[in-house]
Amino acid sequence: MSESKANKSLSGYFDCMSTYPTLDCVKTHLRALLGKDNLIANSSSSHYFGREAKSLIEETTEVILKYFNISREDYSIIYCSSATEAAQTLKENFSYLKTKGISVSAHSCFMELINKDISASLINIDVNGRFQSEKKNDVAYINPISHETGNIFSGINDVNSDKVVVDGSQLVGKIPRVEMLSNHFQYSDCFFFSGHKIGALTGVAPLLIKKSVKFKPLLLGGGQQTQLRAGTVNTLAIISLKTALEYWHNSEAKILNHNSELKNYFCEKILSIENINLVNLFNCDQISNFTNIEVDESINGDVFLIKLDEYRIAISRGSACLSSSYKITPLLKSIGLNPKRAKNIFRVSFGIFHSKADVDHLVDVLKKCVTN
Amino acid sequence: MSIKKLIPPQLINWAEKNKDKKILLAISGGVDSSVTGWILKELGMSVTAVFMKNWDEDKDPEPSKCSSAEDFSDVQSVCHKIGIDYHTVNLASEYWDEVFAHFLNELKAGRTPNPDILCNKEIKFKHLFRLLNELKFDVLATGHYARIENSKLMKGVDENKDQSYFLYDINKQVLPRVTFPLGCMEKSTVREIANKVGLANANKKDSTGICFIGERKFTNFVSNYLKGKKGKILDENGLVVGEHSGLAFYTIGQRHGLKLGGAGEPWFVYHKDITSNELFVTRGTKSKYLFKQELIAKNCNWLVDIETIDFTKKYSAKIRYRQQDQACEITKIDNQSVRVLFEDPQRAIAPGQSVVFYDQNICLGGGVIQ
Repeated sequence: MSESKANKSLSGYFDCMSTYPTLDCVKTHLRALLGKDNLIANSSSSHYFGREAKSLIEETTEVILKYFNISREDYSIIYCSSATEAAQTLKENFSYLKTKGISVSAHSCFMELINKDISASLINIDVNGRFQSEKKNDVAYINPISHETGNIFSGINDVNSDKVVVDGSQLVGKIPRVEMLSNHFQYSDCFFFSGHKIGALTGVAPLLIKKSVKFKPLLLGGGQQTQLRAGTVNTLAIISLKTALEYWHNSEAKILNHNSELKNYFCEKILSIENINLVNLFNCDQISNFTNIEVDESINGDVFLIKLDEYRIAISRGSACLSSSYKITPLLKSIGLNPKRAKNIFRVSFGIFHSKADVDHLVDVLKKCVTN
Repeated sequence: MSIKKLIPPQLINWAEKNKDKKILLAISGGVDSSVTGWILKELGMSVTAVFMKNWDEDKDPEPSKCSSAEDFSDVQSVCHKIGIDYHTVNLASEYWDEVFAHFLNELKAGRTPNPDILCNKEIKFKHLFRLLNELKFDVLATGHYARIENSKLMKGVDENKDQSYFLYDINKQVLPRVTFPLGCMEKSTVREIANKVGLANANKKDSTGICFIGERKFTNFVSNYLKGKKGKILDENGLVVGEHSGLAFYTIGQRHGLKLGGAGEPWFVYHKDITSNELFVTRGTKSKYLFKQELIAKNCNWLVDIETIDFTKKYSAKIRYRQQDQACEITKIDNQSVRVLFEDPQRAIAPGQSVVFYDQNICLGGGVIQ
């Protein structure tokens, strides 16, 4: 075990749904920027160094506008520190609205409303992965891709709501850009995603808001970001976002092919393990780099994860953003999944850095951990 | 003095003899299990920590403010500091079914249960131990103040902290594979180590009372789960002196919360009659009604071979945690039941609590007071 413990390389990391390892191109770019005598100054400063930092942020903004095919005239882009901050900002902004719909797949920050706000109700998802929104809402909080099942849910266009907020954390880079724009983004009034889900640094989540939406900042003070979010911006993380987004934009076909190939390879190999099954909890597609596996009920899910960790294999369960202790999520509850069964369903998500040999190793370790 | 010098020599010897063993440390986020981890690591042992999540906040109508999250944060900080891996295991459904449900049933039956004893028996030294076997660890370490010598459970050397009382009901088969490094240390030394090492929880308050209730009022917490049926409060002479809000909310010896006024000495609960739903009280801390010289204990668990116990000999016992040893004679009724006759009358013997027996420093076992 000690030999495998020493192996901390990315080859054993199969939790890209939670955090996608920083892309090589991002590292190269940042190394160059952080080289000797270079300074990433405060982008609010008016001197030369500040203007340089501001320019770098502007470059990222340009890339985002291009990726989403939108213009500054129609959208404001705010760099939040996390998807949770973006979600919280929107939640506060729309708190005055009388009716709120929250998809069962939504961010836990929105889910809290279900217990605390009598104007909030759940938007369920049927077995075919379609949003069931019969009731009219003033605002709907939608997550079109489940963090834990990887399913791509459909029917945002039928969600009956004046305003639609889309959590795009798992959308960007995970499905073809054209599909993302036409099936999801175009129906949103507000949209956010996270840098660390696409191989940029952690600590940045762009929030895209239609200018027609009345918006008040959550953080007040310094007047940064045209007074839409106070606080010195995380320039380095924002710069990393530019490189990562360009990478996904330019290499999309190659990445999606690689994902499908690895996933198919894994799915074939996993069939040879008696106590592990592949599962798809909805009758709709899962994203290309993702699959769920279910471990036999005779095996304790906690023990299984600890054994994998001993081999430095990282897979996860539950929502990608929740803490380490497992708790069944509203999504799995909504489809009537028994909590005991939910505890034994894990997500495996691949990255561009994985090879078939890595998958072979993963399958070997999985086998050891269910048979030992 | 260097920190390492604070580690007792017997621990150094133990580590030397067991250096090839893989140790699973039950870590809680408190100072005791954290220092246990530091000592084992410092002695060169292979240690992995596991944090148990035993309480399901979703089933708690008024969960106390994130104490489990704070504890886990301390675990992360401490494990980082001492350089050991940590994991979490969720044993909340086992805790609910095997500890909490029993706790509520006992209260309903008018008894005074001790969930910490049951938690050790059912959760730490049964379910966690099962996980230890599945994970192929050799030894379970915890931060209890008790010792194990020759597979016998002994009192901790810090008399004020000795926790053998809470451990009497565990399965004796596990003892050869359990270690309590703090059992040969004083609490003050443990704190000193925590401070010198710079552990984040070095000055964290010790947890007291029932873990899932935390800082909340017992009655408020319990009333979320049990409906109290009001009834009469009677004095020693059968005179009605007040009204109680449900027998489950009171325990023998209780003084506070009776809401009985009047001049004179304070009132104490000395008896509960479940059939008539009546609570009996008496005045004064030394009232004869509060004292009994004998008790019957059932569901006994013996940590030594029962055949080796000489029931003609005098032993000592505790009827509550931290009580001074009380000399007694134990008469065996059957393997699981005993009659205990104390040398001195005992105050507020509460059915449902445990009586734990000792031969000097050796914990022989114990049972549930009837």
